[in-house]
Amino acid sequence: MTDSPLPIDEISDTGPPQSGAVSLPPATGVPGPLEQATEGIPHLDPAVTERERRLVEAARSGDASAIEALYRDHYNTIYRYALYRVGSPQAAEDVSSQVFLGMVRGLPRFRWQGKPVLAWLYGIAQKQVAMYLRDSKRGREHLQLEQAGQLVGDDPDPGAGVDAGARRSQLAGALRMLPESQREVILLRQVLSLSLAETAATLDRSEGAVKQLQLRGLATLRDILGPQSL
Amino acid sequence: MTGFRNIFRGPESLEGGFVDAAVLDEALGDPVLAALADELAALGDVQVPASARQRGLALVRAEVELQDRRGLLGPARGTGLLFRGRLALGSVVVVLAAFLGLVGLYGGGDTSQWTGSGGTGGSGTGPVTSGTSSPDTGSTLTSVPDSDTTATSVPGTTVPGATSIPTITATTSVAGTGTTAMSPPSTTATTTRPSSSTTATSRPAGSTSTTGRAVLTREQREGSARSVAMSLSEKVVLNDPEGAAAMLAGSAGAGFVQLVSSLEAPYGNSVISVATTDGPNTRVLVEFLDRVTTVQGTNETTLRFYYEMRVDDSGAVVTAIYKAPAR
Repeated sequence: MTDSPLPIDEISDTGPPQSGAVSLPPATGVPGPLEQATEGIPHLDPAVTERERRLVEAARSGDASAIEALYRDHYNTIYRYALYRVGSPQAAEDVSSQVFLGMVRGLPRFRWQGKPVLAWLYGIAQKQVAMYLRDSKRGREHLQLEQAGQLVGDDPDPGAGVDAGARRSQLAGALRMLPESQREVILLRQVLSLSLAETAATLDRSEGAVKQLQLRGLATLRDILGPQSL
Repeated sequence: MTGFRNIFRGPESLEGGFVDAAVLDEALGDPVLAALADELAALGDVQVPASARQRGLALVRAEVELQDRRGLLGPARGTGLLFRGRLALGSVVVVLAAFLGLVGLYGGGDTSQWTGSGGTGGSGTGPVTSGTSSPDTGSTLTSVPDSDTTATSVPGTTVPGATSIPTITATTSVAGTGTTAMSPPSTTATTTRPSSSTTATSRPAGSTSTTGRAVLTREQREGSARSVAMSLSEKVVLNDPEGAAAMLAGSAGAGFVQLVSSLEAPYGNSVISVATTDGPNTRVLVEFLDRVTTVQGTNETTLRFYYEMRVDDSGAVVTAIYKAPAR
């Protein structure tokens, strides 16, 4: 925890807010739903990449503050991803914990390749989710988005809250019906608001492929939900 | 036309077929899709429970500590240096305890007054030779600032009957062994040792093997297991994963995660049963009292877990944790 080889506090100060769903600063831009397809393709912010590289190096050397900084940066994103994959807040917490325990255990073997740390964590999360869902009993659990809806901030209109909860439940159900590749892109890109470049790096696909999967996923969702529900 | 379509196909094989220009145009100009995208973005507003975040962070810290102790993380760390210092101190303790043991042996020390402690696990000699060390010497020499903890009751929260818990001093084995062992409970002015919790390193008369290692009776093993189980459970209730980590073998990590993740707001615990399963292996059934908050209100629940423990003359360590069936 002490004797940090790097000025982690200084590094952390430039980082994202801890409570944000998106772990990277606005420099990378969180685009609107579709306009990014017509604008230039964003790239990973070199400053953010450098910060992550230094954090990972410090973490690999055993600096606990760097490990905690990585945790703070990415916990919310991993938790939300897990929530929409495994079905319940309790299970999402369980999976998220396993992801970060896996991160700590994997640090000695981790080799920096210029990809976002989130890509690594996402890989661990996918394995943990798969292990979780493999259990048939757990696999039958489904996310009660009414429950998740109540975790969303205070709603001044209780009636509207019920409607919103039902709508979220409908959307989550439709998400589960998407083909895997489309679902993952929609989850990362639309729900978790990762940038195009981050999503591409995380999924190890080209940005063009991500863009196409995103559009196709939206179209599939529209078809699943039906015109009346939109 | 095929070539044109391939431009949009991209390097990957896209599920559902390639996306042609018509689909792209449709999507870009479709207000329905844009609205749908907005709704999906709203799904991401789900708040992450702060308690989940804190529990996860505590687990990560405990894991970092474990990795650090095992020397799996890099050398440029402060805690590692501190830990190596502890190992050196532990080695000194072993040597000193052996010396004191010899002095006591030849000096005819009164072992009936011995209250234990002083040895560190791993060498196989500490627990036996520390038999004549004084309590003060032992407790001073084996103290480890970060991991020494006194299991204390939370007023109004612990289960009746669990009012006196022996002090558990977590020590690490000498360098190179990579294992964690528990030193015995030590009697202090503020704690009383339960009559049934004879410690692993207390050497009853006539219970020494020909190799010089203490041979524990079943009652002693189960008493030691009970003490450590109570202490571990207390640390779970008090949200002290660092202290808990010192009692866990690596194989218990996943079970510990499950245990902590299963509890929302634990406020009490008790040991239900202790049973020897095989040789040094002991199984302890522990019950936690938990408060679970839902939209309907707060409910009090109980959750039971088994601790599989290995108890020998160097102490007791939890080797596995798993959920027990509900009553």
